[in-house]
Amino acid sequence: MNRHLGRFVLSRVLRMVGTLWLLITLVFFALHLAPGDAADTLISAGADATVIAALRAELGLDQPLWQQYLSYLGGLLRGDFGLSWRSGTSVSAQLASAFAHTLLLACAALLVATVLGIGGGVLAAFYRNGIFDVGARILALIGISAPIFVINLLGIYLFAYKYPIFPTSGARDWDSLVLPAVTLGLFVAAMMLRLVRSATLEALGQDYVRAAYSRGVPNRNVIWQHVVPNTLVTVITMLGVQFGLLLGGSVITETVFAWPGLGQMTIHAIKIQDMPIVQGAVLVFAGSFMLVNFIVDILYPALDPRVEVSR
Amino acid sequence: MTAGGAVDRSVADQAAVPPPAEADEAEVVPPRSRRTLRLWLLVLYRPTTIVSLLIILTVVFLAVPGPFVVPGDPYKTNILQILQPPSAAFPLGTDELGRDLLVRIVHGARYTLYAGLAAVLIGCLTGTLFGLIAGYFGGRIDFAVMGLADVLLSFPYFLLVVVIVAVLGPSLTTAMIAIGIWTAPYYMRVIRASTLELKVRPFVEAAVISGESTLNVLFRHILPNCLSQVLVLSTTYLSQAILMAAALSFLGLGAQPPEPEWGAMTAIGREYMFQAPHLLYIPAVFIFVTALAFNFLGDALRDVFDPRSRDR
Repeated sequence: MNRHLGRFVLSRVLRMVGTLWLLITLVFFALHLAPGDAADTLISAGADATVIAALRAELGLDQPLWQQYLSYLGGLLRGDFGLSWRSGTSVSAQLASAFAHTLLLACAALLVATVLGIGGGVLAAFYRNGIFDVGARILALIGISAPIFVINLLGIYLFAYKYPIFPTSGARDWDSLVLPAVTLGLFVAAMMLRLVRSATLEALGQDYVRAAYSRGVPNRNVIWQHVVPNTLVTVITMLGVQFGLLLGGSVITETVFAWPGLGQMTIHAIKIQDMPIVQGAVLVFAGSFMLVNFIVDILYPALDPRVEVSR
Repeated sequence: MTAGGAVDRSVADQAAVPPPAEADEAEVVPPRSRRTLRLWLLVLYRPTTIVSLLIILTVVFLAVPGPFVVPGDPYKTNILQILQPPSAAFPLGTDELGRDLLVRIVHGARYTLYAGLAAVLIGCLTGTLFGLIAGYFGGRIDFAVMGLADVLLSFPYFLLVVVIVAVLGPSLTTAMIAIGIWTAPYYMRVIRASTLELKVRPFVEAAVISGESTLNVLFRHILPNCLSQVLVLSTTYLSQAILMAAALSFLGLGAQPPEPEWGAMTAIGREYMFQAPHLLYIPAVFIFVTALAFNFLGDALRDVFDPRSRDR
């Protein structure tokens, strides 16, 4: 069994490394085939040819593409994401600070989403078709249909303007985290609630639950010992998807709240055509998403003994 | 003992005794067209379906004959009447350049429907095609196609769309292409799984043995049996596509400012949200209601055509 698990983890690691490499390659070539590079801005500014050539040499843009690709890969292994086309500073340093902000926002939002999504979903399933269930389902459908930026702006309008409790934007004190985290969390909670509700309903319909009831096991014990653990397995497997939703939602939320994270950095870099920043930020986003999915993949057979570890 | 317990048991009972309708169906299978008709009636037999169809028809009406019914130029500015709240002269008010918001909303419906439909069509066609090929041929082709799908799926939600826009440059057309590419791997997975299941079924094997061409087998025998799944996916992704197109335009990566696209209008409304909130909430409500209608419809279709995922 242990050897099985080791082989399983190894195969997943290899697969993740493979996908990561494909991803880096795809993003690198896609962004380098996009028209325009760092030199273009200087041309429009009327700089002379020697200056442009010097800049291109400094950024390594005069080398053939495959050589740029290899040196980029080599740099990534050392944690070096290259130089920004606009400021000439190290991309890695900017990424580190932005990633810390995004991680803080994502964790806070995940907390909000988990509490509301799991709590609401389990309760809705228990009181199926009751007032709470119908209300929660309608709210969840509204949450799925409302654009995230509208939820963000509604939060600002209500709690930064109408009742000025929290700041409208920025990242100075802890209180500037509240509005972005809660509005982003609500967006994810809506999806989570629907999934948790169906998982709980499925668990409630299982034979072991009926068997427990027919043995006369009290309701409370059935819920805590049979239903909730089985629902949690599903919740954990879905955590990867929820995290992806959270990261994607943070791109918009960060822009609305001027939160200095990876998402805002990406959007800004796209607008000023600073490709090394876009590339670095996208790789960090996708890399952390893959890492979470990998952990979920490994946890899954450990949590649910019925799942056989396939090689 | 509590209300919860009673509900739990009724759930269990439902699972134990299949509803009589299903038992009948197992014994006497009605002709396929009649079954399909019955399923469609089941979809229509829901108040939410009726409401969402009415909303969708309204948006279609705004998009197609709307600009002729509500005349006016969505780009015509009037400095004397900027930021007017809704009134008799301007039912939805005016924006920061004095443009009539009603006219702009009507013209915007076209952008929203066009972007959503085009994006879903791109994703649906490529995803279904690749899914059929991967599932039917298997082996290396399957490995390559699913590897590509894995890479596309390893981008967190929305980020793949942002990357594609970064490569192709911001515009509504690139936004549509990007959203289409984003949905494709989901179609690939679903259609591949169905194809794997269908290709070993007797009717497909019979077609193969009787010498039908591979194209015929794929498109006349396997594809028709995947269509209900394609329909369910498409309705759900239509609302997602509309939301994403609006979000891209809001971020300045989709439709560009003077264009009367609802997401881009929301971005303008954000700057004036405290002085003239109608600039923000009117386009936002239109986006929201349209997405809600397609979500309701998608839920109804999924419940009826894909009963395994009921309550999801």
